[in-house]
Amino acid sequence: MSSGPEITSVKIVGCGNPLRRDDGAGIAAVRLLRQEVSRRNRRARWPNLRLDIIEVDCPGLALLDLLEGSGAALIVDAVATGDRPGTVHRFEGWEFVRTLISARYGSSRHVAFLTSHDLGLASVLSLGYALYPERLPGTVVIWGVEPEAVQFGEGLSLQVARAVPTLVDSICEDLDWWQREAVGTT
Amino acid sequence: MPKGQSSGREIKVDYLARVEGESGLYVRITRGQVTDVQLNIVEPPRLFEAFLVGRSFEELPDLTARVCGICPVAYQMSSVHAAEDAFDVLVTGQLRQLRRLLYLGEWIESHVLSIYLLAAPDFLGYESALAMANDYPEVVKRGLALKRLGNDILSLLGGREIHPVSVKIGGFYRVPTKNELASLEPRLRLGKEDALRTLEWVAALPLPALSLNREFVALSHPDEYAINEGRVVSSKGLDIPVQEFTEYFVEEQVSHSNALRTKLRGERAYFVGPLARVNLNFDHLSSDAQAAAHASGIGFPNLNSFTSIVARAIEVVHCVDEAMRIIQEYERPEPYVQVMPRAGTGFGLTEAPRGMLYHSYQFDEQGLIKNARMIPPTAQNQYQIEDDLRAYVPQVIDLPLDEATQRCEMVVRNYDPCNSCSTHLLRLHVERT
Repeated sequence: MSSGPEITSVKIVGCGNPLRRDDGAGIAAVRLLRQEVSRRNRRARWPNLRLDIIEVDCPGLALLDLLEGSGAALIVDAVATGDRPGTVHRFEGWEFVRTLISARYGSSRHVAFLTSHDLGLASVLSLGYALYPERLPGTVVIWGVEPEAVQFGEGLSLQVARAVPTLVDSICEDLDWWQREAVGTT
Repeated sequence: MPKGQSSGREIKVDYLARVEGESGLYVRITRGQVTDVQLNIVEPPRLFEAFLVGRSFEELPDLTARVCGICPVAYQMSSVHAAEDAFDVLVTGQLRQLRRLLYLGEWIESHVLSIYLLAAPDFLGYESALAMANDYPEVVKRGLALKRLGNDILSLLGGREIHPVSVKIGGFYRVPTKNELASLEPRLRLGKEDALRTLEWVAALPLPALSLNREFVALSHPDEYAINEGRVVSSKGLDIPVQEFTEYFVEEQVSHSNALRTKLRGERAYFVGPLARVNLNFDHLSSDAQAAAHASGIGFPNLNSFTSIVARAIEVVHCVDEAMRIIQEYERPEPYVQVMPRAGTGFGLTEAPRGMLYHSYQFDEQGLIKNARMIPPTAQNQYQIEDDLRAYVPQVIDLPLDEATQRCEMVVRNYDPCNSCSTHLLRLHVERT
């Protein structure tokens, strides 16, 4: 064991399809985040974090492979819960799975997702927790933006576009927390 | 139909789960007789054939790949073979082998998804693969590892696992080195064990009986398990070249579906896909796949559509064997042969994971597409699926509605339907009156 401060690897995965309007909010957020961390502030602000920023469309089961090997993971995506468009949500792994399942199917119903077309985040994560808990990062956080428009087309709706910088600031605060944790000052 | 009428019932599923794309099912039972069966493919029309017009032949494989996220290679292969037919180009030797290898990767990935995640939960009484995973974690892990192998073959040859980008008319944009392919060998050795255990496992599932007098149709080749070249043959004696396909197979519009339904001339339903291929081409399966099929205790040819899951598993064994052989014999070729476009019409028919996929294109002298036509496997099976349901519903008619509905859905999943592709297919409605 090294006696120096611990380095934590953090994967930040932006999901979504930018050709379906607000479904691309996660991609827009990680692109903005990448601008932030490519500047000098990366080393200054998070010296003990190894950041890996990835863009995917709908990763399906491949998400499990993507997350493997990192200490923490942030998944950024459009998440529709019925709230006001532009609302920013933060969920921790299992909580996310439970929330989405109850929102979509009602809490009493056994979940029948997992069609080949519907390997959504909640399905993939719950399969991951059931099969390979040891391969998933200790912390998985899902950041979501409530979409307004998900029809074909490019460009975010106004409310969602306005929410993206706020979302990125919040993601940076999560990174700040892990930075403090890595050096043992939390 | 008001509930409580003792004279009849209706089974209705608006959106079928665990099938690719959107479709529904409607069955009407009147005085104990099935009076109407409709498979409704509600996936919106995709209009690919229309927007390909005016595009260059060079764009074909990249555009047609987008028809399907599960079987993009099938669309690429049928389209490149059709273009090469029109331009009189022959792709042979190692390039032809690499195309088979790419296709084998897709078969593995698609079949394993169907077996483990879409079909198996039905036979074991689970609502989803996720629920099954809690009780059978090692089984589902085996499935996911095998699926990963298929995806990795696709990534290695195609540049990425969905909508590969390496395929061009005449060959590939880039071909792998011998060392790159050799990296798959240890994976394939493990995959072979997983494939054999998959076959044992599916053969032991409680498979219902649904044997009908069927006409199986598949591509057949004298020297190999037909995938991308051969003649179209049937279990009732049809034997025609690909070019004559539309003279024998007729598409029709039905009001309840966005897919065109295909029949054999003379109003005959026919059956395409893994069970058709195993029934017709058994002798060309790898020797280990044949031996494992014999050991499974399920006899072939087999008329029971519920054995489709077994046929899929047999094909996975074959795929792993053939992939290993191709890799071991591989010598890196030039990536492509030169193609000179010319005016004319070309035909391509290859075996997608779900069955025959027919393409034809008419090109002008610059190689621009003047006319395009695609006939996907699920549209071809649609009529057969409805026949199956008509025969099967009387077996389940006295069950509670939920259970009867679920059994009907299983009948549909035997065909691993891909509805997004076929809207050029499912919701379940069973109506009993």
